[in-house]
Amino acid sequence: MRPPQKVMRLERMGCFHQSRLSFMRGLLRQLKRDGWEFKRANWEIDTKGVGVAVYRASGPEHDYSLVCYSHDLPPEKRSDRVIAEQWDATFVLFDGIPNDQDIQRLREQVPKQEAGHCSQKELVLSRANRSVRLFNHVIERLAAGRQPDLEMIDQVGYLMRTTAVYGNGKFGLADRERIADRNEFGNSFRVEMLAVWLIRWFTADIVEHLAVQRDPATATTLDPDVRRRLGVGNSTGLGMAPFLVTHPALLHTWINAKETALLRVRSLSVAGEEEVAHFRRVVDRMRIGVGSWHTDDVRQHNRIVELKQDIEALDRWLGSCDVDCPYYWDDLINWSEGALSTEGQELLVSMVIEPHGALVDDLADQMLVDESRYQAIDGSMRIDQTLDLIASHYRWALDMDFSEPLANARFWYVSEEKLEPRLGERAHEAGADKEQPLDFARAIKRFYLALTDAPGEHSLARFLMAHPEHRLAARRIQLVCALPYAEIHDNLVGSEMVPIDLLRCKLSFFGANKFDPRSDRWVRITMYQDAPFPDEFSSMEADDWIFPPL
Amino acid sequence: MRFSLNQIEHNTRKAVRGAGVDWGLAEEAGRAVRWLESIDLPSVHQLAQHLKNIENVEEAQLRIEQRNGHWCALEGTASPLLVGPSLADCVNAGSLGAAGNHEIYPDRILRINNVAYPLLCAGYTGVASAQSGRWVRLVWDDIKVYCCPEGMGFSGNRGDLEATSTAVLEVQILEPDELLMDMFWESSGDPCSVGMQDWKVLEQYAHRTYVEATEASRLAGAGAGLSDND
Repeated sequence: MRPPQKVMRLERMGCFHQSRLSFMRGLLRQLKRDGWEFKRANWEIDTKGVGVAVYRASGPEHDYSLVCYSHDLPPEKRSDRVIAEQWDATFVLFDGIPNDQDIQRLREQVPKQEAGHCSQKELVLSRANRSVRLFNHVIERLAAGRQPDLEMIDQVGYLMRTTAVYGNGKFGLADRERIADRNEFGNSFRVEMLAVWLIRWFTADIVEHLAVQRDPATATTLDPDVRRRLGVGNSTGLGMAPFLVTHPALLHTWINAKETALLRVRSLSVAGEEEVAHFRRVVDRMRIGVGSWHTDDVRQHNRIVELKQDIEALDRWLGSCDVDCPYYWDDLINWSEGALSTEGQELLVSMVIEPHGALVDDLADQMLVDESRYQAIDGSMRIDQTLDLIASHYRWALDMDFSEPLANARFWYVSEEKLEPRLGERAHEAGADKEQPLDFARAIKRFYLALTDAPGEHSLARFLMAHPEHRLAARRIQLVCALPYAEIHDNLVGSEMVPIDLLRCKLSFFGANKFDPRSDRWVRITMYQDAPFPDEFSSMEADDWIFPPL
Repeated sequence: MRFSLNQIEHNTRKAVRGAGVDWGLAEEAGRAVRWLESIDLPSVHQLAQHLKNIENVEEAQLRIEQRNGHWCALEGTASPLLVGPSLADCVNAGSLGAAGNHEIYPDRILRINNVAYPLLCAGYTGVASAQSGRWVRLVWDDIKVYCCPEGMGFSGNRGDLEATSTAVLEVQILEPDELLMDMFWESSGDPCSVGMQDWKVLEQYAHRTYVEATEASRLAGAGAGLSDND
């Protein structure tokens, strides 16, 4: 396994790519395996595109309904920000089949989003805005009986972009525990991924509907191959950033699954002929994917330029290395660590895992953990034992000098206005007295220094009774000893920290691609691009879409 | 009004922090209150009252210590927000007793003097019982409360669950066959009804953890533009 000291650096995590363990892909494989069926159950949208639509997903044991409220939003009201109050469309994933009263109740609540109140029958709450560039273009083309411009589709990637996808008890939604024992949701973010996949279906239907309204005589529908190139966008800001820090057991479980998959592949003494051929196809397809990855962000743009060079270097390596050599995959990874950029190395990790579904796909179903198992503190641990643990697991933090202003340059806070996490500059902004506890490097060092003054043979429980301000750090250390990939080995309040690296890591596990940073703390992505739509799912491969077709 | 357990936990966590208690303790309070509310016990109400009581108390004064074999507050009434976590440490370690001593003594009754809202303490031992698989008995006034991995029960005077304080709280780890109780609450995972007045009290304290937005911070803090018309 690659050690945490290497994997858990924020710069590397900010280069992670989707893999076959990603949640979107695991979900679609499971839906296929279990024979799920999908239909558009209701469509009451008027000529202006205003109304309600319901999409149904039916599995072996449960039905779920995405209820979509479509609005007619003036352009000046459209905002990517989570603080917006109106959207082009609002959605709720309902547990079961809603009756008329449910639809009416939800009509009152769902368009209000955070300001409304959901019930335990609702699982996911979301909203989306149209991509102005692409949405109108597609309607115009379809209304004229033509297909949209493929270059424009590649430039944007989606018709609508969600600005938040809420689950797990937020705003009165069902707590995760209510559905955790259901087979289809026994993994991280499965219910949210299902909602987003159904939202994508709505985005395609609404443009076709509006094209017919514009010119019923000439309007056509999206060609299936063109439609599939449309993903669903997502704009993600700092709201998502603290998640990886506040869910350390989950973070470990995700990274551990991916690293275990990589280890299994590297441990193969013989590379299978079929797997090597598959891998080469993946490289060719990824070359196309990288070619259509656009961003104005200088840092990411430079990484993409390097990535193109990495793929050429990879081609040369593939041409020169004998596939019959022992431990071919391990050789490839070892070579990459000296030859490719960090972005290239992480893409390669995902690509070598790709042909080995039979070897690794079981891991995709083990990416959830009962976090409560790791919340207790073992108070019987002695002070000297605790010091030893900190020294061995947090040497990187102990080596930091927090008396340096740059090491404390930022602070995380929650904004009063929207109750969302934000990042402030300690020297220039008020609010550091209300700092959120995400500064674990600093907290662990403080804890360590406090422990050095206590007698080594005393119990941790005794120390914490007198110093309860260190309970957060004490719990963290014991957790990280058990789960080594649980901690990000960087200073999250330092001046050089780049918040979108946190977002990118999490979104890669969702299965997102085409990362398009809009600043150092806000990123746009595309989800489900090239994936089958639910209405064609039964006749298509569930998991052969993430890399663009050749 | 009905709230999800997740909402209850997070609002509690923020409210406790807003009342001036450290984040680590606030997290544990969130879990304890969630656990109690999941079995329909009025912990949000008790917490709301308790936060008002400790509003002007320095956190250092809330700390507990061991004195003459008992736990007690450094000054005044012991807060469940401080007693609870130390009790949980003992339950998780497999024994109850003098965490303030060199060792954690096994198999003895721990006595805590002058404790506010003892039911809230049971929230912490309830969570610890679920984590450790151990059975715990808490006794105050005329009630015995039993925490076990599946939930909680009591014997005695039910009205004492709502006690605002008790002179002595006794806590002991039990063998399962020692359990005797009149009523058993199993954690259902369902949300429960919380009084809006109590909820608003929690929100007022939670509000103290938020930072007021300025136009500059709106742009810099989130990093997004204001328009989505690309």
